[in-house]
Amino acid sequence: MNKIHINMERKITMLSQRRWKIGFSVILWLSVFLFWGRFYPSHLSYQEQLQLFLFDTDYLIEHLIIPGGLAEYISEFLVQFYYHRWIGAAILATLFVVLQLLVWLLAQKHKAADVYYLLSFLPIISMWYFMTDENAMLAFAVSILFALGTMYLHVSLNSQWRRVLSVVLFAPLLYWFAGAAHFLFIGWAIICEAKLLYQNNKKLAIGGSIAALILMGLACPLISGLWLQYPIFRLMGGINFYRFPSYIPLTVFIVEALFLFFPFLISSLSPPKKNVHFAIILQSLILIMSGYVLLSSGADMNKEEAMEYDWLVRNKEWQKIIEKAEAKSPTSPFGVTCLNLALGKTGQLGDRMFQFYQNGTEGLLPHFQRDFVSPLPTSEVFYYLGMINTAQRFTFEAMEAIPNYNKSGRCFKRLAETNLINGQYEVAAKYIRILRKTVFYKDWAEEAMTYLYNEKKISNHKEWGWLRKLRYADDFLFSDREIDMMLGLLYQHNYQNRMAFEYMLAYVLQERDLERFMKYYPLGKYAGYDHIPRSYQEALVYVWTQTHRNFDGMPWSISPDVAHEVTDFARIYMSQQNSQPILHTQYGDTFWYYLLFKKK
Amino acid sequence: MRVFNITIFFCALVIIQACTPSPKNVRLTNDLLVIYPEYKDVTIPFNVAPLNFLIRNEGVDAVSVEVKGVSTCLQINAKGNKAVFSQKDWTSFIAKERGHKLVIKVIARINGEWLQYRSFTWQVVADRLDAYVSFRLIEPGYEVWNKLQLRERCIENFDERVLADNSQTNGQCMNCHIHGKGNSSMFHIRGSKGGTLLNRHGKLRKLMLKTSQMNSAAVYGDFHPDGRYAVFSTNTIIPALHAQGNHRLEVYDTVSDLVIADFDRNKMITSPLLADSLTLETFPTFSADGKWVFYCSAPLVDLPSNINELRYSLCRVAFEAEQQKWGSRVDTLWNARLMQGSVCHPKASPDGRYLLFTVSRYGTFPIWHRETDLQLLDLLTGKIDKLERVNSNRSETYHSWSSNSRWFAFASKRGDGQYGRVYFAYVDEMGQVHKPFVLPQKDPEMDDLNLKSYNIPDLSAMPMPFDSHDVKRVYDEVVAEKFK
Repeated sequence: MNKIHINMERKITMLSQRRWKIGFSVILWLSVFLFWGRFYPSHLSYQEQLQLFLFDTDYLIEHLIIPGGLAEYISEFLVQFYYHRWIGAAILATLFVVLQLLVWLLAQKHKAADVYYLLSFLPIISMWYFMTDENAMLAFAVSILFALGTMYLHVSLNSQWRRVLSVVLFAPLLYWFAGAAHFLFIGWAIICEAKLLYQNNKKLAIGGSIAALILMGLACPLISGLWLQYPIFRLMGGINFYRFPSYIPLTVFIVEALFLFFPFLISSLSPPKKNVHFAIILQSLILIMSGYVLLSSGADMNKEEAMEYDWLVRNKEWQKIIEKAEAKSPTSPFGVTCLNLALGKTGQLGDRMFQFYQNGTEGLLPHFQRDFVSPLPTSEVFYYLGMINTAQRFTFEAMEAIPNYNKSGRCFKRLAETNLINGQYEVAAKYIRILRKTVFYKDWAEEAMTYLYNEKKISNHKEWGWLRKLRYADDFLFSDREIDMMLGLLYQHNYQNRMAFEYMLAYVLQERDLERFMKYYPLGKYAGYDHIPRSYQEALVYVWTQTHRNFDGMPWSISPDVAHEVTDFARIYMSQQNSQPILHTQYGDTFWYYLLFKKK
Repeated sequence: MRVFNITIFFCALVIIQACTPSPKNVRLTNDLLVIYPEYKDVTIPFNVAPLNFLIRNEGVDAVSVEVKGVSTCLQINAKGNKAVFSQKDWTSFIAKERGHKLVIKVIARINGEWLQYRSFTWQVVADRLDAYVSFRLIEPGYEVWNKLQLRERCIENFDERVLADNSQTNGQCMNCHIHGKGNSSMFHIRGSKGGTLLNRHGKLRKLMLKTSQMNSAAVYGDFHPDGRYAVFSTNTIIPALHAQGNHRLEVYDTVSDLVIADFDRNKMITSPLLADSLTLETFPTFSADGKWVFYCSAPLVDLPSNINELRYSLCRVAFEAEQQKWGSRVDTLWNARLMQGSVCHPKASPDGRYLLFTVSRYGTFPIWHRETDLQLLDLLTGKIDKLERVNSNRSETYHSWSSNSRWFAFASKRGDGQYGRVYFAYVDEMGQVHKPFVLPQKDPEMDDLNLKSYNIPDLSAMPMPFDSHDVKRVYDEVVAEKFK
């Protein structure tokens, strides 16, 4: 009876020990999930839009023929689910917890005390920190997972010969499937074997074993470099761990080192004789502190904000963009471009643009930059304006500029649309056929397929039919130095294109070119306004007051508020030596303030 | 054990047989057979890789294709809509059928019914097509490039290798690879460590083909038949973008002249006649005997506003190699003003009989002009063939001759209007040009999925004696030789 009681107590103790460990892993899962799902979700959308996972044999083969290709293939398979951001957060949380459990299992193989369970979270926090970088690829985490799994397999083998055999077999395989993360496994084998040989007093063999293992590790990338078109530093450091091929961040190596050494470090710590709770609390504090420091320094919330705007534009959430800007006005050209587009799409650009921060024409239609990010919102603006060729160009160039040569689901979709609108059906079909091989674009592609060669159906499509009507009728060479004229030609082609008119006026107002504003303004009579938009009133009244003492005879119906405010503005401007702070408070949301105080 | 093995063998046979559909109760149909590539009634060389194709009729789930020659027959039955021949069977079959007309019978299963379509033919000719074609693989973009590769494909099979890869040369832009007689070849790599990589006598050199008198480094060029010289244009190139419809990119020159580079003495041979600031000269090429330089010439107009008026004539000027001297008189062979078109890319056939060139409405960037067509000038008779059997309603450009002058390769956007593919056309003894065929692919669906354009296909009888590793070494380690 007594024996049974003792066994029961032991089981309960074990169960409770397991429970607190499970509890902490669950907390880790929830923290990661909430971080990515709640605070950093746009980074997930960003990752998703810079790849195009295809269910296609050639796509698989393309990956399998390079070192680390399988890990990349799996990671791209997972990243496609980031299309729904909460699923992406769950995937990352699960992956991180599996990594943590593997670190712990490895530490346990070296007889780590349970009390140090929380230390197995530290390498995960370093990985978490790395993944906050928008250019960090999930393939790195998957490769580490492969490496940890192989390390666990290795340490589970009892016989020395089996372990030797496993290194000979697994190191090249691991290199091929997981890329340069095989160095983690080699490092692990070196430490394990050296430790064993030292314990067995075979000190002479240690040097030989280490040398052989290092050679083994180096041989894999060096041999593959004989026929692969990659610089040797990439074969050594990982082809697909970072988006920019010419650079591997130091963090990659630090994270790898932490995953390698922590299982040994944890197992080398002696269990505390008393104050077990204190040890756990101390570890928790270390975790919280390191997590806070690393994540707050790693997470770039400015970029997250810009990506959020871009995501909202992609999903045509115009009202949400405006609400977001009302809470905090964006200041980067990227965010401002998205906001102005939302204002344009909802017919508020003329009324409200100066209520928000404006950074000149770069916040309306930014100049083309040879990168893979900034042309995307600009291409959206051109698209909705009806400048289909220019939208196509910006989209195409953005995709072509993706540093790791990936394709983009978002860009493919847009290119299919621009080609459908332009009647380039063979090219559209090419993009659509490829999108049919995806999970999240398949339905759209199937539907788009029915529009091919069907002029009537395209004309009846709410968006494509409308954009077809807006396109230029005549061909000419597009000039990005005369954007206002390009917009004018577009508007003159179809007076229903009020957005083109508003962008044209916004462009000249933000250029502070009142002469052109006055030239273009009369064209607004065709746009069907029921009132003169606020910023135009402000510009008109400003022009009027430059040559007139009062408002008598003014040919435009300016609201009494605007007339009153311009008088007050002028009074403060003239009477106060340092009027800017006062005017900023009272009239910071007017064209007058933009005109006189905003830096060019 | 033996009984077991035999049982397994027969079971496998039965399974294979069951998996390979064979036509039953075949019904003849007048429906149009839609195949990609469009290989119906084409002329092919005896040394070409298998002409695999897709059957694009809706609902095809099994195919049976019979290629019947004079002496033998090739048969495939397969699930799906792909007709893919075995390389080994094809090579031995087609070698026996030189000079014969093959009849291709296609039977396809649609909704469980086997339909036999109207047969078509392949004319196999005994004139060899040069076995290698090099090209640049690039996204048909506007101004941005990312991954660029020069590749070499064996036309007799599906072997392909990389000649140069810009991921090994700091991501720099690299121009297309062209070759001359005797397996010499060259291409430009841009950037501070770049230059013109010249492959001559099996040795790679890096040259800086720019002198203080030249308005730019060498751009478009061609070898003299003896390989010692090459003629180049030097161009100030401006890209511009079209606003409407299916028009895309326009590229024009504001300045362009001609020079000849002497690779033995590292010297540029110039002529004031071909450096006129009021005239644009470009796309030079040597005649087969090396005594003439054919090129395109246009009077400078106000650009970009009058881009539609920029039209290039086809001209020639003499070159005396022994005296290293340009001629002093320019002959106009094709007058742009009279013909209301613009000539680009003249290329003389190695036997000296023909000059192949492109004609578009205006400008100097025919690749994005869908009206661009190839034309063939018989230098013996002066007659121009408009090549109606070769051209399509999309651009046909960047051609090169096979060393026996019986074939030429060219890039055409006829597939979808955007992605260029390599086509080959046969010129028979009578000077008749036959219907071209596209470069065969191992998987005929590849052209659908491949998002790269094939730029400037260049034929050669032999493989190039270098690869991307050699290019990387020269790029990294060799200092470009200067020219005077």
